[in-house]
Amino acid sequence: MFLPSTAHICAALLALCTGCASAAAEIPVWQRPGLGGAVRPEMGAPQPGCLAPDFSLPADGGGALRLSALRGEWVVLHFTASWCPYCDSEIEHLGQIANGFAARHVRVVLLDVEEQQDVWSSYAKSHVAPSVLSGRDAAGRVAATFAPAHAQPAFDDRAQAVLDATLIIDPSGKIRLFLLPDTAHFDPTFGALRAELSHLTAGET
Amino acid sequence: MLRRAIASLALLTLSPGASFGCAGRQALPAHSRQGELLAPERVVTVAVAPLGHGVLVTLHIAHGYHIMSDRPSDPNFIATRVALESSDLKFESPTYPPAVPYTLAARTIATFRDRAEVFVRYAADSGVTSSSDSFAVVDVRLRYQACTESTCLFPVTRYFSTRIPLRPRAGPSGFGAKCPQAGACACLHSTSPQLVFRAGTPSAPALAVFVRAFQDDVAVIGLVNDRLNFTAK
Repeated sequence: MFLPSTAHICAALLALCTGCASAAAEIPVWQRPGLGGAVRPEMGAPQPGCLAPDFSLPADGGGALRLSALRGEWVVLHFTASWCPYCDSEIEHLGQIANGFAARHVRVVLLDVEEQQDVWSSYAKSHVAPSVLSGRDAAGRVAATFAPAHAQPAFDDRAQAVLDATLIIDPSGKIRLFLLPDTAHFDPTFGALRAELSHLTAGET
Repeated sequence: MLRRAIASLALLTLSPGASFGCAGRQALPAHSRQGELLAPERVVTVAVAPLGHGVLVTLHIAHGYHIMSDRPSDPNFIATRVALESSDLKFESPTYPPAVPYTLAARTIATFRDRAEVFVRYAADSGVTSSSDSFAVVDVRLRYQACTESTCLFPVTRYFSTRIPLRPRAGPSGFGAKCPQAGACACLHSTSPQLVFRAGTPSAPALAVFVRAFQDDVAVIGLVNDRLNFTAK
């Protein structure tokens, strides 16, 4: 017999409160291998099942980078900074994901958080793969809208809570996976995220 | 001056001095066990103390965290910087300790962890003499960027002021007293100008700071086992 855990009850209550559809899973996402950083219901919105907050930021290649303009495609959204050693070790793998999943209509979007334009632009030219869409969140306002209210409560600057976070957003704009930095495990290759993305987009080719 | 040098080395070895901030380093904080991180400005506790002909700034880095060194392994990383300013004093460039290697995803980066001692000598024309006995207000600017073993925090720049005596007072640890039988201790040998480190040989960075702080007053003869031999100039 299935007995709902506290987490399941919280997820259901949150879904009722926020209007987000919450898929009850047998095993909480954060208990699955490599997904220990997954947001938990008690952290607050946004949660998987919710529409991802839309944004429009200056794109590194010119023009605007608007999330809602990518509806119809899967989006891997990642928050980064050039000074962050962990982010730096991940960035080449994000390029690999962009190339490897392009046929499944996956776009990788990289948002730089709270850096000066010249610093980020110089870094992006030499580190970000051409297949990755990138933009700069100069004041961290967009990043802050993605920060679950109760995640990392010590951070006054809420943008800090999602630095190095990664989301999978489906073609309808809903969050399907939301990984905050896992404080107990670091995998620069995004192995678990790739597996999840592969599963979610299996019917796209 | 010789006695003061000995007492100060004991202080350098044993005591953090006046502290600013509140990150503990002895025990893993409860919020760390739960996967919650410290705010960046709480990762490093700073102690500022006069030492010989300069100021020793000790950075106590919270357990489980590291900060980039003063010479990061990548030009994009944020170098740790200590800057002192005072209307009463002039300072030379800081001397930072050696970096501690940290392995991150198949590469090694240069960090500080646990404790980093930064020594800032008074400039030659600073006007500090051995007979000075007044205080000086020193403005401290500290910039660093911290990470844990799996994620990083935003860079932070902290400012604070502290009042330091221009003539360091004799430290209470060890000098003129009997060393305890166990534990860390530095004290004057009873019959010759030697420092005896009961906890073992002092670290090279600690000795480098000592020599730089007291190079005008003592001549270091050498380190033999756990004894630092020197004479007064």
